[in-house]
Amino acid sequence: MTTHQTATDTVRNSPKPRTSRARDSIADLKSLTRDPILLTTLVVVLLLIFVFVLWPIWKVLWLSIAPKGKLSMETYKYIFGQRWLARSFTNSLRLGAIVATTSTALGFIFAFGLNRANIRCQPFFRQMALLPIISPPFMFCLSVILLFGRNGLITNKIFGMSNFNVYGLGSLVLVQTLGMFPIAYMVLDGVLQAINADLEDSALNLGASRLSVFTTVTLPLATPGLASSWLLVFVTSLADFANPMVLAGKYDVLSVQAYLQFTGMYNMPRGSALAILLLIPALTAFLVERYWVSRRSYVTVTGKPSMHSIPMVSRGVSVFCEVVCWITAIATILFYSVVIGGAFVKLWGINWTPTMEHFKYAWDVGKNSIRSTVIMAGAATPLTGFLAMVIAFLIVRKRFPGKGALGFMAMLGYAVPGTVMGIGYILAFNQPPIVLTGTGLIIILCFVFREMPVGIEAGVASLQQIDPSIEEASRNLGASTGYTFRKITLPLIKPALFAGLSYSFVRSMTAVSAVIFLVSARWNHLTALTLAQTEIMRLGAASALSIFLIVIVMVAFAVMRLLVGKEHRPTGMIPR
Amino acid sequence: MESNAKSVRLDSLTKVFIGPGNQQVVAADNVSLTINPGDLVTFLGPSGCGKTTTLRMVAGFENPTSGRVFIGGRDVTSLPPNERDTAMVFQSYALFPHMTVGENVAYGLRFRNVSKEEKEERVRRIMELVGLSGFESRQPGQLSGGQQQRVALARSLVVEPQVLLFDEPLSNLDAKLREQMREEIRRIQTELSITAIYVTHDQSEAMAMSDRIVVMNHGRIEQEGTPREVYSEPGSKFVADFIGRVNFLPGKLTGEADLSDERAAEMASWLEAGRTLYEVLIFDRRLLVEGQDSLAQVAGATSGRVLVVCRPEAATIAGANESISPDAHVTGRIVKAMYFGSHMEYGIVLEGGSEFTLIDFNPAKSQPLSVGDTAGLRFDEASLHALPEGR
Repeated sequence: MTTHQTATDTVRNSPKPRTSRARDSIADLKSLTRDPILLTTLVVVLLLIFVFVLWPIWKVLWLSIAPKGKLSMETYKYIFGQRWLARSFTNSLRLGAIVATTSTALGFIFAFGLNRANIRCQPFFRQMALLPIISPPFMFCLSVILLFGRNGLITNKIFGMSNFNVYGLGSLVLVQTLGMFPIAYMVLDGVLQAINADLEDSALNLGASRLSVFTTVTLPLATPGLASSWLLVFVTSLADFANPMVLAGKYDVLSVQAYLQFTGMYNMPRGSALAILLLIPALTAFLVERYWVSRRSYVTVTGKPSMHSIPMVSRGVSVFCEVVCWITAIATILFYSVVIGGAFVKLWGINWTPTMEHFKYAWDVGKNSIRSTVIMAGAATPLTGFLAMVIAFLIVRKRFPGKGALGFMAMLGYAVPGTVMGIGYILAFNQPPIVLTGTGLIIILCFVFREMPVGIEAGVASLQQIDPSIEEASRNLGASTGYTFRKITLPLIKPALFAGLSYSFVRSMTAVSAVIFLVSARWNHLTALTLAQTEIMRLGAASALSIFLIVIVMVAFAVMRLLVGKEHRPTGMIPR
Repeated sequence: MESNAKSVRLDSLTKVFIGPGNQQVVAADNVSLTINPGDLVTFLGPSGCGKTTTLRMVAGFENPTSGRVFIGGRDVTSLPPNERDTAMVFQSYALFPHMTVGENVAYGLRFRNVSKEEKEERVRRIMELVGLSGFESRQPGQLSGGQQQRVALARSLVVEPQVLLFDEPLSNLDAKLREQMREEIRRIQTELSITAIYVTHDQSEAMAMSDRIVVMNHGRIEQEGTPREVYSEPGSKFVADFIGRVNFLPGKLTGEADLSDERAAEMASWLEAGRTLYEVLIFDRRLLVEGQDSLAQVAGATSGRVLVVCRPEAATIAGANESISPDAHVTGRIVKAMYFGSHMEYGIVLEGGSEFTLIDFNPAKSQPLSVGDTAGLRFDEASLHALPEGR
């Protein structure tokens, strides 16, 4: 999600004059036939998106509305007739709404504190606000169990409680908020940076108090951003599988129920229907964010953040922001340290003897998974990057009929919860013409099409920074479209490409919700293994596996950074 | 360098864009034009007049809605940009930021079957020509704006294109550098005798550089001619107004000049083909003014009313206050008097209330007038030009 918000904006705001259907389309088609490489690329891209994004989603939908091959709503009737199933729907929405609200509030306090309140230790807080993004799944769950569980450090050791129930809504809200507020922070940080400081200064100058400036200028301007952030966190919380799987207890949510129905009870139509029930609010929120909220943004990105010379808030507000930031940062650090500590003691809460046996055990059971995870994520990453850049290039630079639809379909992988994709892949690729279940390839493909949107957005954002006449110059001097893309465009968007790549690698390494359906004995994923270890309460091993994951991710980041090399600043200015 | 100059012919080029709300925007409207080999032709006009669109159709970046483009007699309308032998200098220079200056300049040669030795030799010669020898291994970002401009020029020249295209190449430079670069571009273009199309909205740039100027407005060609023709014989009010500064005087055409008169005969002998000397009443004075052959006929529809184009330097002060010369054609009150060193600029409200701008060169030789003075004005008949009213 690092690049999510800013990049979505650029996709949205990309200048595309509304074209007349018939006449322009014909002209565009004509120019397509003159450029066979473009035409071929377009056909291949469309085919891929159709097979690996739309087809699986359609399979899930079809199975849920036609469980026996004929249209019938019986599955849905059953679900809404059973309280325990119907409740998972409302539970998911409630959890999503609560977490979206808390995360947005926390994210806003961080963004406001860092951009307006002049709090101390800003670089540190910026780092802390982004750290949870690379955390492995289950990580915060493990911490919560280690701290507040039956043998929890705080509940049991400090307060002496022996029957505190850590499982349920409260814990879920805690771990999801801590894990997802970075999304809100990134959106709102961008928004607050983009609000021209002159506006607030002029309000002050006209006699408004600092509070009035906040309520009449800053907040109204940030409102679309707040709505965006809320909706994005809402979607993420809905789609979350890892945390509720471990921590939900009796609080059933859709993603977990869909998984249990599908793989535990082998009731595929019911699992599919639950997945569709998950898809509907997620997709709705995504569409509302994308096509409604963001259009209401007043913020124009000028590219140069303006700075206030005087603090815009009172001392009290500043202190409040700083305290909240400290609490969050300390909680994050504590959660990390507990997991690290948990990996090094014999039995948490009972036997504190330092030991390496969890690492030995984790390595023994996990080395194959680690290898396959790295292979799969490593294979998916460059494919994702290349495909994403090609699509970004098509979207920004080329005119062809159905461009809007292509952009939308390519972005679907992001909006669709992993549970839906996972089930879809199982349903779509377990029978001819394409049989992939049980292979590593199915997981790689799932990674590629789930992570591609992030790469596309990064690519679109950086392409829009590049003066189109640089590419025209290359064409004009005799280079073909393909040569120009390889020798001119690609090198110029390399930094964004690698940023997108490292992020998609992390997401592939930490993916759970879709992958959990696709793993097999031969092609297991580290997160699936961690989940299994957590479920049998081998928390030490689960902690050790999480640490392996963090180390791999860190190494990958370092390698990527080395590969990127120096960035080329465009010379001259972009006219107009 | 062997000249590769080719002619360019635009045949009824039309480009229609579909704007917001399905509105049709005609960017280029039936543009037909022939450019001779080795000429530098400027497309001049206000922003949105279609000059850049037309240029981009020549380069192949836009597909014409209708019409054809010929380069060297060959129809290139359906060729993609990389298969047309044109080279364009972009407004933003469009240097490849990830390549050195040398790699930038040599880029186009990659696609032109040139041996390594020849490539090096051509790059060396062209870098010398633009005065950038020794800069080959620099990054474009390390150069000044003017130097980047030269690299862009060198990159286009080195491929020895059939046509060189310029899209407002100097608009990012400061005034002084702009004048220097336009001379340099013109020098190199004449030296290599390359056919060139140059798009600009700066009329002095167009005047200084061009063999011919094509004035465009609303997607159409308003007038095409040498710099001298478009300045002194503008075909329309728009052209007169767009190029240079101008005063429009109301006049009444009374008939053709009487060529038995010696002065009229001499003036008429200077006229080019297609032009006639007329008698026009301006401020009740009978003056001799040239105009199109057809002017008398056109003006007939408006009972002889015509618009007389008078440049600020085409009138002189003929005495002031008590000593207004009997030669003066009209008198007026000075409302503006500005000293520019090389010239004096006056704003004079004439009989009838319109303000006339007059430029008096070399003001040192005469006593300057000041605001409030009454001055006599004398028009230089040979410099006047009559247009049909309403054009």
